Amino acid sequence: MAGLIEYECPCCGGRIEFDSGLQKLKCPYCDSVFDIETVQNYTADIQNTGQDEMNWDTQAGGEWQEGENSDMRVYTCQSCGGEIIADSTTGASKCPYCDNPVVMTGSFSGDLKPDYIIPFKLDKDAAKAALSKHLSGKRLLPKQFSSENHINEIKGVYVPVWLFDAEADANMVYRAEKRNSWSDSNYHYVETSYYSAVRAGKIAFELVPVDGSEKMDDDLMESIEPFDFKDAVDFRTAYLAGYLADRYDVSAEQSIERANSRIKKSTEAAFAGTVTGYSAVKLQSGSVRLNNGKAKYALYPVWILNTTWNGEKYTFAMNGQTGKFVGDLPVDMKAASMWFALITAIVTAVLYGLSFLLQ
Amino acid sequence: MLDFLICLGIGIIAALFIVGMMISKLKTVHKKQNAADYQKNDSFRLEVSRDSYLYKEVKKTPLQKK
Repeated sequence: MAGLIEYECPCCGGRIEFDSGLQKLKCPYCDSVFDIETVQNYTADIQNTGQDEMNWDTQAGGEWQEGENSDMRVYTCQSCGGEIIADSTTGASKCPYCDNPVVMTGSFSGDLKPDYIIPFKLDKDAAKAALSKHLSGKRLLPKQFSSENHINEIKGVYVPVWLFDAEADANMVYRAEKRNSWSDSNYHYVETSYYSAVRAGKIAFELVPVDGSEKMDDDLMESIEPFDFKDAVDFRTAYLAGYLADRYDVSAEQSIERANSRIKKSTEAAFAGTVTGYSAVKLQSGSVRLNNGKAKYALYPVWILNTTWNGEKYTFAMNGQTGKFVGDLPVDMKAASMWFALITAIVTAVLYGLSFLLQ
Repeated sequence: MLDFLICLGIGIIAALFIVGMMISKLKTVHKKQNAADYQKNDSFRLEVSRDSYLYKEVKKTPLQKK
C-alpha cells in the first residue's frame, strides 16, 4: 500500500488537508487556501534543492628540489611557538606576530614547496608612511598611542595562503513578498502576497584565499584583501631574501571550511540578486555543489607591526602589494565622552533656539 | 519643558550617531563574509528562473478617529 502523502503549508508549515467543499488544499492551523498544483510544485522545488556537496582536491604545493632550501633556516618563537623561515643572510631576531625573541632551531626541511609567490611591491618606507596616515586624523585616538608607537619594528612577512578554485552548481528557493497598502474611512489595510522564486545555475570562483598560518589573525589577513594574482610568479627562494616567511601550520584540508563558507555566501547573494520586483526576499532552501574544486599554495606579502599599549596588544598589517593598511586602534574614552557631551549640547541648543523662533 | 526634552533627546541621538561614526573609524579589521572579489568574470549562468504565486494575507488595523 502506498504511503500517505503529506504536504506542508507554505504559510505556517503545518500539515494541510484537502477541503472537499472548496476543492482546494486548506491549512487547518492558519486557514490558508492553496491550489493543489501550487502546493505540489512548491513541495517539489523545496525537495529538489538537495544537500550541499563541497568536495575539494587539496593536493596543493610541490616538492623541494635537492639543495633548493639548504640556505633556509627555521626560527622558533619562545613565547607563541610560531615558526618562521628566513634565509641564512637575512636571519631573524624577533617574532613578527608577538614581538618576542626567536631562536634558530635548525635548517628548513620538509613541508610543501609553495606553488606561487606574490613578491613585495612596497617597501618598509611605504609601510611606515601608511602607518602614520592610519594614525592621523582620528579624533578619538589617544595622543600617547601615536607618540609612543614603535614604527621601526615593521616586518615584511610572506604569509602562507591556500587558494581555492571551484565551479559551483546552485539550486535555490527564495521566499519573496510583495506588499500593497491602502485605507478606507475605518481601516488601514496591508496586503502581502507571497511567492516562491526558484533559481538554479552555475557560478565560478578562482583564487579564494584562506590564511594558512595560525599565528596570523584570519580577520586581519582578510581585511587587507584583495591581492592581485596577476603579479604572482612561480615560487623561488630568492624572493625571500630580506624578508621572513611564515611556516604554514593550517593545512589545506583545515582551510576548506572557511573557503566553503565564503563561496556559499557569494553564490546565495548572486542568485538572490536575480529575484527582483519584490518588497522582501529571503532564502528558504538551497544547495551548492562544487565541481573541479582545486587548491594551490602561495605566499602573500604582508608588512606586520605589533605594539603593546596599556597592557593590550595591537597588530597592524599592510598588503605588501596594494598598500591597503588595517589595524584596530584604542578609543580615548575621555575624548569620546567629551565629544558626546559637546555634540549633545550644541544640537540641543540649536534645536531649542529654533523652536523659540518658530513659535 | 516638553520642547526642551524633545530637543535633548534628538541631541543625544545625534551625538550617539556622530561619536559612533568616530569610533568606527578606529575599527578597520573585519572578517570577509563572502568571496565576491574572486568571482570569475562572466561565469554566472542562470539556467532556471521560475516565480510562483503561493498565497496572500490581508491585515487591517482600525484607524483612530479624531
